[in-house]
Amino acid sequence: MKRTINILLACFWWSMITVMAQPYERLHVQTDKDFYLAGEKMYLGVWGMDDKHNSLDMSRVAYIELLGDAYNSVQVKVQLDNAQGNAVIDLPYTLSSGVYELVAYTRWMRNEGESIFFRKPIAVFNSLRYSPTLDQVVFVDEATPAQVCSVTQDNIRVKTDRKIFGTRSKVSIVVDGLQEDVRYSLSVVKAGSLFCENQLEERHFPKKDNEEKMAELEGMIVEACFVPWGDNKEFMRPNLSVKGKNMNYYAGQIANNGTVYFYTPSLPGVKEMFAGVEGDGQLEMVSPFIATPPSKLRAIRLHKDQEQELMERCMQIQSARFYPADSIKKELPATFYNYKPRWSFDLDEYKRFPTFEETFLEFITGVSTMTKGEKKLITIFDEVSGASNNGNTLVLLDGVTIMNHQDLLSYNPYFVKWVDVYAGKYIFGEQVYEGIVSFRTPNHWMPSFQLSGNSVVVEYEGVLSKQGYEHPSWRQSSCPDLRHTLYWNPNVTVNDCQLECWTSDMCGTYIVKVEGMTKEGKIISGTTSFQVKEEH
Amino acid sequence: MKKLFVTLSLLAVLGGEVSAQQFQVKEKPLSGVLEQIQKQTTYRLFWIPAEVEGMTVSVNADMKDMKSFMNELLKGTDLKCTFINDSYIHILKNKFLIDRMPAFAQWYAEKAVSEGSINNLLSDSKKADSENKIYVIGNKEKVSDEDMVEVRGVITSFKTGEPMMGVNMVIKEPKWSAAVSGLDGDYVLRVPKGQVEVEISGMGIMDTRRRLMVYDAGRLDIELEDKMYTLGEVTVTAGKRKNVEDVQMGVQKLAVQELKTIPTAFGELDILRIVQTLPGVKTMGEASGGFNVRGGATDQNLILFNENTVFNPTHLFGFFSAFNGNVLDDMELYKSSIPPKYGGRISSVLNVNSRKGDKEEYHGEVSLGLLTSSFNIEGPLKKKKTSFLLSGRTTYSDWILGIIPEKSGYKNGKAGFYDANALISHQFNSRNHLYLNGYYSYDRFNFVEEEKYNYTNINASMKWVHLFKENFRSSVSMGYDHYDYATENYANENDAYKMSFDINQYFLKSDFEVSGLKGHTLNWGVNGILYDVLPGKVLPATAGSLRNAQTMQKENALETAIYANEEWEITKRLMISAGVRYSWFSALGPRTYRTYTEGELPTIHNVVDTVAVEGSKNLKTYHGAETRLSMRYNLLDNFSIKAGYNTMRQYIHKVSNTMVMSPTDTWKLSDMHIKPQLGEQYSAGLYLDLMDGGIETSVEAYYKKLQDYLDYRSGAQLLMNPHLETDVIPTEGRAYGVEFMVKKPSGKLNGWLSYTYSRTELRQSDSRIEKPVNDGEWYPAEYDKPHEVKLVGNYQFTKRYSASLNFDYSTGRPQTMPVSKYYDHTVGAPSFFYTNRNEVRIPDYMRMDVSFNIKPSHKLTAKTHRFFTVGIYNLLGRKNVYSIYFKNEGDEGVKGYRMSIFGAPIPFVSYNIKF
Repeated sequence: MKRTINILLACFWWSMITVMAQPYERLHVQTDKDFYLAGEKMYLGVWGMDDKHNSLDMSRVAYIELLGDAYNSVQVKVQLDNAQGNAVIDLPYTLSSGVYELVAYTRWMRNEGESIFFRKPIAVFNSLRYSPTLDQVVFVDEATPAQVCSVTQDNIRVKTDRKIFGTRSKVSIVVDGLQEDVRYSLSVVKAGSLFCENQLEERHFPKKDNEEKMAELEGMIVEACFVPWGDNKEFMRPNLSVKGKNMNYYAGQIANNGTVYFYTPSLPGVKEMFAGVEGDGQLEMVSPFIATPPSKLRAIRLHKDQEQELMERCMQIQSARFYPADSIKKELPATFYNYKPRWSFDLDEYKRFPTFEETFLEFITGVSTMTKGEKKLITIFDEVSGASNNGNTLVLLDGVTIMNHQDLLSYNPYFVKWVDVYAGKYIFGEQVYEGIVSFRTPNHWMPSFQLSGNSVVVEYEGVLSKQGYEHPSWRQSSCPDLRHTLYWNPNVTVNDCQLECWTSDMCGTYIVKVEGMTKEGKIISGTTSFQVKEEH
Repeated sequence: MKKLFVTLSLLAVLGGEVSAQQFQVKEKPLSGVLEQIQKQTTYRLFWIPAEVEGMTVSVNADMKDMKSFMNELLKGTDLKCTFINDSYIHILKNKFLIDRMPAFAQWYAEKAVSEGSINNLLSDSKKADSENKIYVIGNKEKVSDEDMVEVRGVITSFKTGEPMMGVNMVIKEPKWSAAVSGLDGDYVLRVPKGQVEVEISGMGIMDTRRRLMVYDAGRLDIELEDKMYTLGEVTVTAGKRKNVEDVQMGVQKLAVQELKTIPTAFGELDILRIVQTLPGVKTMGEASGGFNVRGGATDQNLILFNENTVFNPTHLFGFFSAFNGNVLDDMELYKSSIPPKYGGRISSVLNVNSRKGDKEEYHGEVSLGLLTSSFNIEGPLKKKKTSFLLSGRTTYSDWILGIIPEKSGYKNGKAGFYDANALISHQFNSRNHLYLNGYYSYDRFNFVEEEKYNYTNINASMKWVHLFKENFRSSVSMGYDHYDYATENYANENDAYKMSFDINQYFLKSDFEVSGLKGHTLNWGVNGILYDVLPGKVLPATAGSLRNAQTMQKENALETAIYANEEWEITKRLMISAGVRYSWFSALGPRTYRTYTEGELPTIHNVVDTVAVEGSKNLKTYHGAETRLSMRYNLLDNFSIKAGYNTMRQYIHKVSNTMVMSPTDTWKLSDMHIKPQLGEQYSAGLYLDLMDGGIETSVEAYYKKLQDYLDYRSGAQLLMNPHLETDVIPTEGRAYGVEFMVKKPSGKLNGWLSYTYSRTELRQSDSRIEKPVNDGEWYPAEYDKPHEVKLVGNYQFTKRYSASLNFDYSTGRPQTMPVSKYYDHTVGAPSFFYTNRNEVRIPDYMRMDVSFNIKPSHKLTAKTHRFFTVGIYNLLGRKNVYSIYFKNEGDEGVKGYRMSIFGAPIPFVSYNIKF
């Protein structure tokens, strides 16, 4: 039985797009707040649209950067589905205080230049440390008034079922007057005096590349280049793989200029990839973010009366680390293909042998080794063709491609629990393998495995795991629920007129805000407020 | 649930403004108390239930000052509380929260801001935990001008997070640099710029590396994995140098794994056939029991099975050995350096040991062969303490007799045997072990219906091994050995008879060994054997038989010996082993015996008197010292020379007119007229290991003298002869030879190849002999086969599949043959003229066997494990001559015939199931 795996080549889409009228893509980003503490969660909603503010479902990945100074910046990739993406960014505890700039773009948008990027200032305060050189904080004498709940404009009416709630109780929200074809975000955030001045500074973005960027219509396009160690610039079979129990193997396409493109799905949650290549050198990943030169952070303005308000939030970020988490993050598994292996072995069921070569020889059906020149190769015998594949085997250890088969042959077989043998032909883009051997360790972490020379681990984050707003489950009532943002939904449409959220242990005034963008590009919003009081 | 008992008292001080809230609890659960406080105050309290679980508190304090109240409450626990904004209280185990923000420090009275435990988060830098990642240090845009930059950091354990001290870090290229982590796991390493690899090693950690891309000085905290110990297959390399370093010479030790791969006829693991593949061991031919070691006779080999002496080690005329392959563990054959603890035979010692039963689990094995089937079962009687091993074997071999040649005399006979082993091993404690061994075998055969034979071996022994110290062990064993045979003859109705023979011996052995005393190993002990032999008994077999009942008188004797041996490693190169064994043999009464004319060989014509001795009186004592010397000198680590000198004494003799072992052989003890046999051997050898012990080579040369070896007059009556001494001719022997051997003990291809040149000659030099054979000159013994090539090879395709080859070539054995016929006028009949004794040789012997073995699958979870052997004995189908005999066929004259036992390839198969 022969199986063929074809990864749709983006080139095909590329040619289709160029034939069509080139669309202009824009992004709009909504955040739950504009003032954060380092260590807080930042809730994001991303809307994809064209230059006429019509929803445009084009790119699959939005690149979002929180640009600060040389030492402080955050870069994330957000998956876009149906022109919509949401994400939660865990702001590092180490971010310096100052005004940052949130920049959002897609790979396709980079062809037009930075002028069309989405930009928004975001203030960050580091409550846990203070360094006059790193942290940009100015204390002002005049206190900023607390945010007041303004009356709704734009005919959007937001109502809560009560005006006063107890802690940890349910709040029903009714939204009325939403327009068709407009997407709204809804946030329930504790009112306070902390906000960021909506003022953008001039920023010098790097000159855009001459080369036109392909749009990421299917998934992520991972770019890499081959770094030769010597003079020989020839290389073959560039590939990316992901550690784990599933096989995630991506063959790279080599462009004329030597750049390698990997067409991958969005790979949510992936933090590391293994880049391998056949040749005298290694692959180096090219960052998909634009390398914006760092500038100085602008200072945030604080008044000493805001201490209590900040301290409350400071307490929240600390307790997030100290108390056991009640909600469990769900990560979607990144499955690539689900083929049944021809032979499977649980090595624990067999007598163990000190080397893989012996193990193959003794009982792993279909797998053996051969010597080609100075290299030892792992071969698979295909029953159908009745021939060995001469070492043209894709060797995976915990999903990671082992380019140099000798690396695996010198690995301690006691670490490996399962061996799956896939016979037949497997086609990955331009790369053809006659069989796959997949080795898996119990925890999928390939203990003490040493990749040789031209395979390297690259830190390469996939898109953020799709994560909506999650309420804590309050299994343990004595553990604090100190949420400042009670609810966040960046994808409210005309159909969602009834929503609900739960209050936390934080007493005070909360503001419910619905915000949308009209076809004219105008921001419309509606707000209401309620009180949370401790019940005694 | 206990009701929370809270005494709450409000004390209003008359006229005062201060009111105090007194809070009082005694031995109450903390979680309940905290809930109570939360209800009574405006504070919101947070805690982790798991951290306060099971804690009880007692407090009686004023709640006015909440901070001191809480401190009072939590006094004596490891819980810490943090007040935030004067409304929230966090109660955490050994953890504080920051309660004031550093940025606002300027407004605080005291400048210092308390450090909360959260500060750890800020130094929560990413740790270098992967070997395969490249960690970038410094900024690509801002490369340092220096060639070497400083990288600092802390090394911690992945598992515990604890800092690790004494970890070595080495950079070898492009510039050598190294550092060791300090007490707090901190290190400073000078690193060349660019891509470098740091090799990391240390106690208890897995050797690892970190790959860095260094642009500038920076920080790199490293996390290391603890060493993971895996239980793997242990390759035992001890004994690798045995060939070169053992002081003993001419010793062959084979473990059962090696034994199993050697192809043997009929697929049985047959220890005697394996012994015959070793250099210096010869047999008379196929299907002959017994073997000759370095020119010794078949009765000069001491065959021990778990300390018991086996008198007849064969079944079915030598087709099978008495040892059931399923219970064997290992064997040792001593050809020249015989340790002094062994004695009583002058040629060799074959020591066979059985396995011990499994002390953990029950399992068994069934093997099915073409001729025999066996089963064994073993398991614990008491877990980890006592185990048993039972084994039985039987045959259905009648068919094989149908295919062997007519002339062999076995054709159309009937034969069968069974044997059983029982072993119990018990461990009293780590210093005391007890082993019980039982063996029983029964053989029967008849070539013609009228004449039936049977024989029995019985062995029983008990052995106690005691460890005084790690290097001081003793073993005491006692037991009983028995052999008997019986024939029944109904050929002539009037003369139908039953004849039987039996030999019994009771033994007691004690052996002590101290090793590790500055290169000395001492071994000493005492042996004693009490013999009880019934040389023969004839009874009429039927009522109508006219045969007279006749019983020969019993022979009793006591053989005792003391011995001591010292192995001394004088220098690393020189080692000697010197031992002495002193043995006494007393022939005991009651007995009636003849005396003969002094100075003459006993014959029926020179009988002087007949003496009758009553009671167990000592009739005759022989005694003497036996010397056992050997030394080794290492010229190189892998090259040694050895030399040895041995003398041996033997007080028991096989009475047989054939050179092979036959079931109807009887044993005779030394007595007034039969002297003990004496053997003396000089040997020297060169031993060289090649390829780090992968190949062992050796050359051994020996010269051996035998005295008082028993030969018989022609026409001697061996059975039921009360005066055997009259039929005996004392003979002396000499044997010499060189043995070359190349052995590859392990690897895919293993086995050995040997070539032996050896001669064995006998001489009847006693001047009293009337007509000595060959006029008193040396003549070759019947097992004198000068050239011998043996090859045992095994090739492992995998650990499961292997093929074995066995090749055997030797010069044909000598025979005495008629060369002409003449008319003897003195007799008045045609007579034959014979050559000198053993002057002519039968054609050379050559045989090749192959087998293919399939061992059990590696799947451990399988319920049964099967293994399988298939092969061909005598692959070339060569009609090897066993003997040549002549027949006077009247007019056609005398014709010679060659007889071969297995003249055709014999395929065999055996199938074993283990469970």
